[in-house]
Order: sequence, then structure tokens, then C-alpha cells
Amino acid sequence: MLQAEPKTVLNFISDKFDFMLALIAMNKHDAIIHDEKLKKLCQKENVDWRKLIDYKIIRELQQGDYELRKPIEIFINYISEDYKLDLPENIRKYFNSIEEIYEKLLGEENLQSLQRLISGMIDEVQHFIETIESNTHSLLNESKELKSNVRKIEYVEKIKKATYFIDFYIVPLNKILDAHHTGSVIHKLSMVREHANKERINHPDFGIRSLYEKLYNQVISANLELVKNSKVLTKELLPLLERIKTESQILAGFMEFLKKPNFYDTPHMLKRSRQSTYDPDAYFAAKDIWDQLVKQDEVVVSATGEQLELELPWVFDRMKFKKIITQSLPIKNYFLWSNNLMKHEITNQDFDFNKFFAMSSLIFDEDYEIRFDEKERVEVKFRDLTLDVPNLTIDRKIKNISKQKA
Amino acid sequence: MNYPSQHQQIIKELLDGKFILSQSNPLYEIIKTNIDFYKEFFHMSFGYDILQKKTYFFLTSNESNEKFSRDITIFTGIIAYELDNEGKNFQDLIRFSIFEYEQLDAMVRGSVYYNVLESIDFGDTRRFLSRLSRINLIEDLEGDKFRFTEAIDLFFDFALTVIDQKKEKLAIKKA
Repeated sequence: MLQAEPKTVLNFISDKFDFMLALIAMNKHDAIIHDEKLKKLCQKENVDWRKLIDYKIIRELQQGDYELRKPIEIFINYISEDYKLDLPENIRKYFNSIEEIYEKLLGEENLQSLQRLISGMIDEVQHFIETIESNTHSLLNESKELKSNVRKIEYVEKIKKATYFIDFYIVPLNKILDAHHTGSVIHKLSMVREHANKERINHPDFGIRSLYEKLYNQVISANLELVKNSKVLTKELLPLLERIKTESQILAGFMEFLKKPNFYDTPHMLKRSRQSTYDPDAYFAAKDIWDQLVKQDEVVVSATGEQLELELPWVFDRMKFKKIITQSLPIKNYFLWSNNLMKHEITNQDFDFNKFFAMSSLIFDEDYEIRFDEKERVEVKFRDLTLDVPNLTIDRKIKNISKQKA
Repeated sequence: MNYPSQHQQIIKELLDGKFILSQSNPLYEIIKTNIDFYKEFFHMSFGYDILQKKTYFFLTSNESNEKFSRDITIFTGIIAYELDNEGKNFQDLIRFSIFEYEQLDAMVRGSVYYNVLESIDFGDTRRFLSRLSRINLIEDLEGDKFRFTEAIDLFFDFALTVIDQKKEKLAIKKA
């Protein structure tokens, strides 16, 4: 038999999801899938029953009936949040496994074995948390069903069912989660946390320290989850008998709605479609547009013959001027040199005040050395102003390599 | 043509999505007296319908403000569930008692249904309640307190239609 592609199996499950739910319900009801019932369902839903075996969805039993394979059941229940309740004994077994791994952890010195044990503990804690979550979720759903009583179960029957849930599932689960009880898993987990906390800091091997760190964080978040679930048990489930004494159609309706809030059409409320002609920001929005239209700077283009002479605004290109300075080093009388550069060689523009400051900013670069004699001054003339400045000589800075090395 | 008195105010409040309440709003009686006129007026002018209940008037449109309505239903459902959980008569309490913001916020956030509120991006309880106040679904009182108005019946009625639909569905399944 050729093994089916995982994608083919997933596509089948997705296409025939309602069929899968019916199959799960059948398996849950009879604890087995009878051959006759299966063929009938397959015929109704137009499914080739042989595919179910090929896709490893069901397994054939000796007597000719079938059973749903566990991973499929768990997967579908998980995505549809319809969990099967575990027996308290099945949950309590985590106490034994966690305790056993913990004892071994304390005495193990071989690094490989230690690595396996810590990874095993991480897996076990994860399984435990998921089991607790799914069981609390299931019990909560059952209690909500009893409370809303949409199926109109008789009062006596309802009390019987609630008592069964409390005695068989809720109280034992509460004991498992009771932190004060030394035999509880929570108590055992707190010991694991203490040990992991110590070892994540003190263990000499880095890999083991990292694994202990992971275990420590996982146990902390597990503890938070358990406290949350324990609260649900105390608040919602233990007082179940008291809660189901009263019934209300309105509450049942709300609970049904809260199960699927997007399924029902809620009361129609007015959706206003009219647009306000004025809003508080309208003045500023209009002013912005108006300013752009009215206060736009006038652009004048003067044409001489076919040539256009445009005076573009001066933009200081720092990199360009720094390159020119570096190439011209050493420079004597820096400001005079800058003036000449602007007027004759680069821009054909006057050396105005803005350009003076822009060029002055360049000489403070750490690559240059500035020298000047206090007695030697020069005058830099602008249109409305004359500046008395020192006569600067700019040269390349000689770095003291031997000093740096020392 | 003669318009009913305070016509402009009536139009404004209804178009703002407010419930016009019989107990506290004098506009209620004016609308009640002129209900045929207002039915026609809103239908012909905007394509809206005026919902007439014993205790309030309210405008509805075919294109509904679905998100807000759903948020209110979820919120009311959670309060009803939590009050019942405390062994109280939720219907009487929601209809007639006074709530404190802090108390209600804690109740909603501690609920097993809080994940439903989180999934709808509910945000801040106080801001949500101020939206309810704007449409007269709650009435703000002094000292950080408020009470639900009779308009909350709209959502109680809705819960009853949900349970009826569910029962019908179950009956069909059985048959």
C-alpha cells in the first residue's frame, strides 16, 4: 500500500469535516465504529470507506468493526475544542511520572542522560498542562450545558448528572491541583522548579544550564496556568449544584450566544451614513489647502533667446567641499582661499554669510590641524558686514601612531 | 405644514442612535402621539425604521452597526452570567440596581467569558460604558456609578430569540 501524502489526508479531513465529526461522535457513542453504521454513513456522505484506512483515520479490528485512530481523534477534538474528559486516574499518573523523572534528575551525572531526562520532564509537564486545560474546558462546557438546560432535562436528572460530574471529575481534579496537598502534582512541580532554578545557574555544562532554564520557565508558566484552572474549578465548577437550582431562558440565550458570538444576528442598531458637512478640523484643513494655492512663491523664468538662465538656490555639499579642501592641503589663509574658491572656481557666487559659516564648519574635522598666529588677522567683507577673523592655516593632522599603540 | 413640537430635537437624538426613554425623556410622549408621522418621516427621508417598544423608541437601519450591537450583547451576556454565578437575580439587578465602574470592570475581567471580549478587541470598560451612555443604554450617576436603562430589554429580548432558535434547531434534529 502506498502511503498517502500528508497534504492529501489534510485536504480530505478539511473537505469532509462534517463527516469526520459524525465519525467521532459515532466512535464516542459506541466506543467503536460498527461496520454497518460506517458503511451507511459513508454512503450518505459519498465517502469511499477504504480511503479512511489508507489515510490512517480508522483501524480495522479483529471482528470486522473499526476504531478511530487516537491522533486523529485528538487533533479534531483539539481544533473544534471538544475535548474528551480524562479519568482522574489518567491525570494523576503525571504525578508518578514527574516524580520518577525528578528523582532520577537529582542523582544523574552523565550529561547525555541528564539531557534526555530534562527534555523528558519538559514534555511531561507540557502534556500535563494540556490535559488539565482540556479537562477544565470540557467540565466548564458540561456545567454550562447543565445550567442553560436547552435540552430540558428534568430537575432530578440534572442534579444526578451534576453530582456525578462533581464526585467523579471535579473534586478529584481539584485535589490534583491543590497546592497545599503534598501529594498534588502542583506540589511536585514546585520542587522541580526549585531544582531547575538552582541548576540553571550552577550546573557546569552550558547545554544543561540552557535546558534547565527552559524547564524552569516552563514550570513557571505551567504554574500560572494551573492557578487559572484551579480558580475556574473553585468558582465555576465546585458550586455547580447550587448554580443549577435556578433556570432562566434569558441567561440560557446569552450562554448559547456566547458560545458562538458570530453565529447570530444581533439587534439591528442604526448605522449612520450621513456625512457631517462641518467638523472641528475643517477650518484647518481648508486653510492648509488655501495657503498652498494662494501663498505659493512666484517662480519667474527669464529667457534670453533660446537659453534659460536659472538661478538655483545654493545647497552646501559637505562631501564635495571637504574633498576639495583635502586635495588642496596645506591651505594658508583659509577664509581668503574659501572666498576665491566660491567666486572663481566653484560657484561663481559671492562668499556671503551663509557660505562663510558652512565653510567654517568643515575645518573642525578631526583629520585637519588648524594653526594660527594671534597677531595675524584678516578681514572678510560681506555686503553689510565685515568680520575680523584669524589667519588660519589648515594642514593634514599627523597622528601619533606610536602613542596610540602604547 | 405643522411639525410636532421639538421636532428638531427628536430628529437629532434618534439620528444619533439614542434610545428615547419613556421614564426620563419628555420627547417619548411627543413621538408616541405622532408615531405615524415619524414612521413615515424616517422611512421616506432616510430609509430607517422606528422601533416602538413600551418603554423606548429607537431607530434601526437595514445596514446595521453590527459590531457595536454584538459588543453590547456579549457585554450584557457576561454580566448576566456573572451575576447569576454569584447566586443573584441578574435580570432584576441589571434592570434596577446601581453599579460601580470598578465593580463591573472587575466582574467582566474575572469572567470565564473574558476571552470572548478579548477576541472582539473590547478595550477599556470605561470607554465602552461611555459609548453606552451616549445612546442612553446606561445612565451616568454621581460618584463613578451608573445604572442600566430600560433599553437593555432589547438585548434580553434578543437572548430569548436565540434560545428559541436553538430549541427549533434541536427539534428539527430530533425529527
